[in-house]
Amino acid sequence: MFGGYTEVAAYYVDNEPLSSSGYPELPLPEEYIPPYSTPDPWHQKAACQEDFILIAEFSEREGPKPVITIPTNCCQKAKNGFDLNDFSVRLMSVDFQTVAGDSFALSEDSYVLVSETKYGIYAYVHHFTLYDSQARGFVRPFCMAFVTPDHGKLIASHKEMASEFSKVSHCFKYGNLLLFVKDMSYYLSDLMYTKERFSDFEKIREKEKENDDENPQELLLLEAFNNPNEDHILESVTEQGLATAIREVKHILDVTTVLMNDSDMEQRFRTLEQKSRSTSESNEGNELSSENFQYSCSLHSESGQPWTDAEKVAQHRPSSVNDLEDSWNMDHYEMYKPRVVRTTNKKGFDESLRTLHELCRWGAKEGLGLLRGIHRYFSRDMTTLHIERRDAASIEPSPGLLTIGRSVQLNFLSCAGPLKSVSDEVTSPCSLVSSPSGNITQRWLSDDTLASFHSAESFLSCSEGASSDESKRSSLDRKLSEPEDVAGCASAFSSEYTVVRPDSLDFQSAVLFPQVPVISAADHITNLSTKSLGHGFLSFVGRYAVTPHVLFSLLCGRPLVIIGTTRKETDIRAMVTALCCFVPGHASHSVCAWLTRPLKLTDLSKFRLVGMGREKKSMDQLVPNSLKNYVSVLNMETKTLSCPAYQGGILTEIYKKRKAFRHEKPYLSYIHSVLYDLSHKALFYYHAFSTSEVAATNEITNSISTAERSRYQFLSNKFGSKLRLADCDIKIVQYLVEVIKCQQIQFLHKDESFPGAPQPNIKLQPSKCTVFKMS
Amino acid sequence: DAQIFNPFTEIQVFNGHTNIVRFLVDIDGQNFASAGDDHLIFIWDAFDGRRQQVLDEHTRPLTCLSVFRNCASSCILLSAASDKIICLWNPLSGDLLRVLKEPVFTTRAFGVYSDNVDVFYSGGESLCMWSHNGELIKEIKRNDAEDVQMITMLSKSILIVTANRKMTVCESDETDLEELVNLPLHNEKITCVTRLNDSHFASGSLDGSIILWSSNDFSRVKFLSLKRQDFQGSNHCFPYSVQCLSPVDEFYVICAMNCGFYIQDIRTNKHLAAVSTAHYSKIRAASFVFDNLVLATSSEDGLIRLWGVLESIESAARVMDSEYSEKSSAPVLDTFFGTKDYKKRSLQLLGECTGHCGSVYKCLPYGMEGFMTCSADGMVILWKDGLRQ
Amino acid sequence: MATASPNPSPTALSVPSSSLGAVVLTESATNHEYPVHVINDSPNSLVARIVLCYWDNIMGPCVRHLWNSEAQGMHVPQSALDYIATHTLSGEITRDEDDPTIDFRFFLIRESNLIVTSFVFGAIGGNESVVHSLSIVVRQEHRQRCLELQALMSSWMLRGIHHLRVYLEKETGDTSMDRFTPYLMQFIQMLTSLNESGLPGRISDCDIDTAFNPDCGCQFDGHFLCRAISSHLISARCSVVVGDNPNKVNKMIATLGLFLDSAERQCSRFVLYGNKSCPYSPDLFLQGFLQSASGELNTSLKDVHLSQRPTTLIDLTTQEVKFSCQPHQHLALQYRAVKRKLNELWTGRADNTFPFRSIGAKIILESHFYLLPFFSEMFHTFDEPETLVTNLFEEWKLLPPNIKQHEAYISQFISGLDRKAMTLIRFVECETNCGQNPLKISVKKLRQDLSLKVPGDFSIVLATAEKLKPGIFHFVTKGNNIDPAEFLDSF
Repeated sequence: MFGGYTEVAAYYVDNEPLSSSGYPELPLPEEYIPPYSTPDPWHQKAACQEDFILIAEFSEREGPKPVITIPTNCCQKAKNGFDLNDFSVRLMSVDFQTVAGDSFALSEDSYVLVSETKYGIYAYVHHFTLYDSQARGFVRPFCMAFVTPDHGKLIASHKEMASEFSKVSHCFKYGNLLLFVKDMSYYLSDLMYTKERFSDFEKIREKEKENDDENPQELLLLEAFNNPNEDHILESVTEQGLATAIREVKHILDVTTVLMNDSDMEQRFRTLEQKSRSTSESNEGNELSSENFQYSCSLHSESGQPWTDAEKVAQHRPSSVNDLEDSWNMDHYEMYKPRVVRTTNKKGFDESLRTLHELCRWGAKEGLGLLRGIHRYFSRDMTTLHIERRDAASIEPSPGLLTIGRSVQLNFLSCAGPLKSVSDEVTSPCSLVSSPSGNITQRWLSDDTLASFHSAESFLSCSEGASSDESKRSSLDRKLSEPEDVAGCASAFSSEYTVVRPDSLDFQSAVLFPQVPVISAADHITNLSTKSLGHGFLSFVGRYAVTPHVLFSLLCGRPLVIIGTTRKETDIRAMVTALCCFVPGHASHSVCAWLTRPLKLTDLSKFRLVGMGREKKSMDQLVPNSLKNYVSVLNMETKTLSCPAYQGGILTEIYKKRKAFRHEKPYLSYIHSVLYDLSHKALFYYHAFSTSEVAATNEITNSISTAERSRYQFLSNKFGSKLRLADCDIKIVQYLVEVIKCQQIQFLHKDESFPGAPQPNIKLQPSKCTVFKMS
Repeated sequence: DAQIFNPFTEIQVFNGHTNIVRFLVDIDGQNFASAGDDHLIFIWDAFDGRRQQVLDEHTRPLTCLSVFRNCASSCILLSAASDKIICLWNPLSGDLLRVLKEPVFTTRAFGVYSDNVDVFYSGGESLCMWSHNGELIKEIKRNDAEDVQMITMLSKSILIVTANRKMTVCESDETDLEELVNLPLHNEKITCVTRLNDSHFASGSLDGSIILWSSNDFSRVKFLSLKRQDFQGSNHCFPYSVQCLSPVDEFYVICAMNCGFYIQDIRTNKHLAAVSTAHYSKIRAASFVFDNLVLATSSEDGLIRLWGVLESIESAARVMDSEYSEKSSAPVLDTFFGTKDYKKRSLQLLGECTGHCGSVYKCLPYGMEGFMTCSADGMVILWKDGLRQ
Repeated sequence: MATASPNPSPTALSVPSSSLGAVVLTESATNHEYPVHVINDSPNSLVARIVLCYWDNIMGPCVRHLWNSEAQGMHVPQSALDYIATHTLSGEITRDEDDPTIDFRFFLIRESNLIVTSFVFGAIGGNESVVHSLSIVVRQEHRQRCLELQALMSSWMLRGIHHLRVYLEKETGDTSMDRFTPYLMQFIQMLTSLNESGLPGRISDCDIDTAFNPDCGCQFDGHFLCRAISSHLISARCSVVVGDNPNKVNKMIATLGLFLDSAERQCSRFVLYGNKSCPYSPDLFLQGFLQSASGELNTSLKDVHLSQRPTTLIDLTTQEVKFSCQPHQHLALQYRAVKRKLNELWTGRADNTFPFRSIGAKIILESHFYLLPFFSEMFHTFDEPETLVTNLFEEWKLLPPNIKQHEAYISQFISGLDRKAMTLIRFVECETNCGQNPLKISVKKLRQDLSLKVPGDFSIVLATAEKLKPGIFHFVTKGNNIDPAEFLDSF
C-alpha cells in the first residue's frame, strides 16, 4: 500500500486548465497559495531543535536583552540566522503586562504564547516585574520563555506550564520583595535623615545670610556636622521634592510590606542559605559558585561583554550571609546608618543595574533551580510527555498498579466494576507511590537509577511523618533484630523497613507499606543513561543465549541469583542493572545489586533479583542447599545457569529481536511494549478468570481439594489458549496476577491497626531445573 | 523436580528466634507459641505472621512448654527452663501470671491431661502436682539419679512418668498424687511413650524395641519391635533408635526409627507401609497433613518429606470435595490409603519441603492450612497450600 | 454511495440553517470607524468576537473589521479591542509584509477577562501589503475549552486567512469582508455544534451507549465493528459516521469516541439533524450524518480532503467502511484540495469536476483533469487485515459483564498502542539519527522488526505514532523519496 508515488507519477499528465467559460483568467498569484511543507517530525527545519528557557529583561540602557538561558549553550547550534538578542527584542517589545497608573502599583504576571513561524519555534512567555530601588520607576521588567520547536507541546501543557512558571516567578519576586522592602526602608530612613539634615542646612544658610559675622562659633559648630559632599547633595534638594519622595516611598512600603507573608518561602530560603553555608564552610575556596551558578549569565561573556569586577563578585556571591540576614530581620533596620541622598536621578547611566541574582537573592537560586527542573521535565518530547501523563493517571488505586522494573504498566482496578467489593475498599486515594508527573517536582525525586532505588533519601522523601530514628529502638528490639541482615546491601532495608513507633517500646514495630518511586516507561526510555534500569540489556542478550530462561525466572517471580567471586562485582552489578527491568512489582524492595552474606529463606520474600559474591573458597555457601530448589542461579564462575527451562513464544521473540534492534533505546522500548502486552493479558486473566471463578468456588466449599486443583489447572489452560499463550507464558501471566493480589492483601492489612509486623508470605516455586551452559 | 503433588508452595516464616527452636505449641488455632534455646517465647499469629507477644522471663534455654485450658476455660501457657523456674502465662495478653520458684529443680516435662482440668503435673528431680493457678498440691521426691524426662497422661488420673530406662505409673485424684507401680526396665533409654487407645500404650527406646502395654493392668502385652542386635552401633549412634511413635486410628502406629519409618498394625504387627531410608538423618516427627492424604516426616537433616499413595491422591481428585467434613471424621488411614482395605503399600515421595537449614524438631499439623515446623536454625515455618492462598 | 452532489457555487457558502445571520453596522473607535458584522448565534457559542486588525501606516495598529456575537459581544469593551490591535501588531513592525507565514499569539487580557487567540499575517490593506491580525476573543471562563479546541480553531483560522487573503487581493474593501463572513459563520456554527452536541470528556458520563457497554451489548456485527474501529485508528482517529437511525449513528460515534483521548473527544460531535443540522466540518475527529431513504446525505463531504487528517467513512446502512484516501496520500491530497479551493475563490467558479463522481479508473473526466487511479473515487473500501482490534473484541466478549468497564479497558488498549508506537518512533529515531538520515530499511522490514507482521496492525501503530510524533507517518512511508509537493505543484 505504501510508496505509491511512482505509480502516481506515471499517470500524471501535466495539463494546465484552460479557460472554458470565457473568463479573463489570471492564475492565482503564487504567494496566496500556502507553501507545501513536508512534515518535520524532528523539527529539522526549526532554528533551534532543542527546547530551552530564556530569561530576558527590558534593560533601561540597552533595551530588551537576554539574561540567562537554560541550558547555557542552547543556541550554539541555532540555524537560519536565529539570534537570541533579536528574539528577546521580539518577546519584550510588546508589554503584555498591565501598565500601572501614575502611582506605584504592583503588576501581575502575564503570559502569552507566541510563534516565530519564520524560525519554526514557539514560546510560552511569562512576563513578570521585579522591583529595584535603583531603577527608573523602581521597576525592572523581565520575562521567562519556554522556547520549543513543538507547537503542540505548548498547547497540551499550557496549564501545567503556566502554573510552574508562576511558581518560579513567585520565587523570584519574593526574594526580590525582601530585598526591595529592605532597600526602600533604608531609602526612607535616608530621606528622613536628609530631611533633617536639610532643615539644618537651611538654618545654616539662613544664618549665613542673616549675619555673616555674628556668632562664628555657632557656625563652626554647625559646620562641624557638615561635610562638603553632603552639602553638594543638599544643594540640589528641595523641601517639596523631599516630601514627595517620602510620600512615595511610604506608599511603596505600604503596598509591598503586606506581601511579606510567605513563611514557607522564607523557610526555603533559609534552608538554601544554611546548605550553602555548610558547603562553603566545608569547601572553602571553590564554594558554591561552581555548582550553583554555573548556568548564570554566560551569555554575557559570549556576547563579548567583559565582566565588571563588581559583577563578577556578585556572580559568585549573590548575597553574603550577613546581607541576607538583614533582609530577614527587621531589627537590623535599626542598625542602618542613614546618609544624605538626592531625591531625583538617583543613578547615573554609567552605573550598571543589579543582576537577577542580586535582585532576587535566594529567590533567584530557588527559582532557577525550579526552572532547570521545568526544563528537564518539558524538554522531553511529546511522546514521552503524553505516555507519562497516561501512566500517571493509572497509578491510583495503588494496590491495583502493576509495575515491571518499577515502570508503570497498568492498573488492574481501574476497570473493576462497581460490584466488586475488593475494589470498593481499596479505591480510597492514597499516595503510596510518588506519581511520575502528578506533582512535577516530585517526579524528579524518582530518578530512575538503582542508586536512588536503594537510597534511604528517596524512601524517606515519600513517607512523611514516619520516623526511623534508630535511637528510639528499644534495647530488646535491637536484640531481636537480626544483626546479619545488616551485612552487605541489606543495610538500607533494615533501617527503612522496620520503623518503630515512638510511643511503644515493646515489640510492636510496624512495617510500612513499602514505598518505591515508580517511573513511566516513556521517561525511562527518554532519559536512558548508564545508570538506568535495563542499561546493558542489549549486550547481555547478545552475549547469552540463555536469556529467555533468565527472563522466565524473573517474570514468574522465581528469584534469580547471580553469583561470582568478589572480583566480578562490577560485572554482576551491571548484570543486575540490565536485568532489573524485568522484575515485576514495586511493592517491596525486590532487587539487590550486591550481597555478600549467604542467602536466607526470608530473603525469598524480599528479593527477586540478587547479585552475590564472595571469595572463591566460600562461594558455594552463598546459596544454601535448603534454598537451591527455589532460586535460579546464574553462576559467573562456572558459567552455568540453573533454572526452569522456558518453552514459549514471547521471551524467545524478545531474544530473537536483539538483532533487529541495534540500539538499546528502541530495544528497551520494544521490551516495554511486550511487557505491557503481557500485563494486559494478566489484567484480562485477572478479571475474566481468577477473580470470578475461583472466588466463587471458594465461597461454596471451604477447602481446595485436589479435584479443584485439577479444575483450576484445566481452566487456566483453557484461558491460556484463549489468550494465545503457551504454558510457560501462562505462568508469567499468573504470576503478574499474583503480584496484584499480594499488593491488595498487603494494602488491606496496612489499614488494620493491629500491633506487630505482618510478615509477607513467601511463595515457593520448587521447579525442575535445567542446567544451561553459558559461554 | 517440579513436585506436582507437593501442595505446600507457600510459606510463612516466623523469624525472630536467635537460637534453636525446640518447642511449638498451638494455643487457639490461630495463635501459637514457639520457644527454644534463646530463652524467649514468641506468640505468633499464624494467619499473617505477626509477632503478637514476646515472653521474656527465663534466663536459660527452655526445657519444656505446654498449654492447658483450666476449668475456667482460660488458656494458660506453661514454660520451664534450666533456670529452674516455671512460668504461667496468659499467652494472648502476654501477662506473666505466676512464677513458680519452689521446689528448685529444672523441670523437664509437663503433664496436662486435656481441657478443663484443675491440675497439671511437672517433672524433673521430683514430680509435682499443681493447681491450675500454680499452687503446689503435692510433691513426690524421687530418690533416683535420673530426672523425670517425660510425663504421658493415659487418662485424667493415670500418668506414665519416664526417667531414662524406667517407667513409673502414677495415680492422681486431683487432691493427691501417688506412685502406683514401676514397670519393667527397658534395655536403653526410653525415647517415647504414647497412648494408643483406651487400653493400650506403647513405649520405644534407643535400642529399637517397642513395647505395647496394657493400660488396665500395666502388663507388657507384646513387643511391637524387638531389641536389635547391635543397637548401640558404632560410636553410640543407636542406629535403631525409636524417635517417634504416633498413634493412628487406635490400632495403628507410625513409628520412626532412625532414618526410616513405618506404619504398623498393633494387632498383627504387620507393616502397612514402610520406608527404610526416608531421610538422610534421624526422623524427629511425623504427622498426617493435607486432609490426611499426605504423611509429613521431618528430620535432623533439615528436610520435611511428604509421602503418600499416588492412587489415593489421584482418586481424591475425582471425588467432589463437598464431603470434606465427612472425610475428616473418617479413619485417617482410609483416606491415606484411599481404601478401607489396608494392604501393604509402597509409599511415594510426593515432595520435599526444603527451607530449614537445621534439624527440624517439631511438625505440627495446622488447621487446614498445612503444618508448622520449628528447627535448629531458629526459624519457625508454616507450610501452606499455595493454591489456597 | 455516501458522496453528495457538488456545491454549485463557492460564494453561496451560507449555512442552510436559519439560526445564523449577519447584520452590518458601523462602530467607531476613538480615531476611526470600522464596520461591524453582528452575528446572531446561539447563546452556547464560544466566541465572543472576531477582530481583524491591521497596521495603518498613519495611525498604527487599528481595528479593521469586527464580527460581533450578538449573544456575547457586549462583554467586549473598546479598550480591549485597542489592546488587541496594539498587542498583536506592535511587535510586528519589523515584519516583512510579504512574509507568507502566519504567526500565532495566545494571551489573556486581565482587566476584561478575555482570552485572545490571534493570527498575524500579511495581506492587502488599502493599496499595499500590510500586517494584519485576526483574533478570536473568548471569555476567560472558557480558557480550558479554548485550549482544548486550539488545534481545531487554528486549523480553521489558517484556512480562513488563506481565503481572506485571496478575497482581499481580489475584491476591494468591504466586499471582501462580506465574502469572508460566511466562512466565519460556519466556523462559529461548528464551535457551537461542539458545545451543544459535542462528545463529553469521558464517554461514560453521557447517556449514549457504546458497542462495548455491558448493559446493552454490541448491536453491531462484530466483523463490521472491528473493521470500523481499525479503520478509524488507521485514519488518525478521524471518522464520519452515516446511517439512517440517529441512535445507531450516535452509538457508533460513542464507540469510536472510546478510542479518542479526552481532548480529541472535545473536537467530536454526535449526529445533528432537524433544525440543529450542521454541514460537514473539516478537522473534527468524529461527526455523524443522517441519510435519507434514498441514501442521500444531508451534507456534502466535498471538503473531506481539506481536513488535517485522512477520514474514515462508516456507513451503517450498507455496513461499508471506507477511507477518504490511504493515509500516506493524504498530505498531497490535502494540499491539492486547499489549492483547488483557493483557485475556486480566485476564479469565482466551482470546480465541479473532481472528485465527486464515481468513475471508472483511468478515464479522462471532463476536459482537463486526468484522474489518477486513487483519485477516481472519493472513498476506498477498507480491507486491511489486522489482529489488534479483533483480539481486543474477542477478549472483551469473554469478560464477565460486571467488570466490563469499557472505557478503562479501551483506554488500556490505547496505552498498549502508545507503547508500540513509542517503540516505532524510537526505532526510527535511532536508525535515522532523528531524521537526519533517510530511513534505509523497507517498510516490510520495519514491520518484521517491530513484530507487526499483519499489515493492519502496522498501520494502526503507525497512525498512533503519527499522533505522538506528527510527521513520522510521512517520514516512514515516503519510500522512494518523491516529494509529493513537487509532484502535485502544477495542479
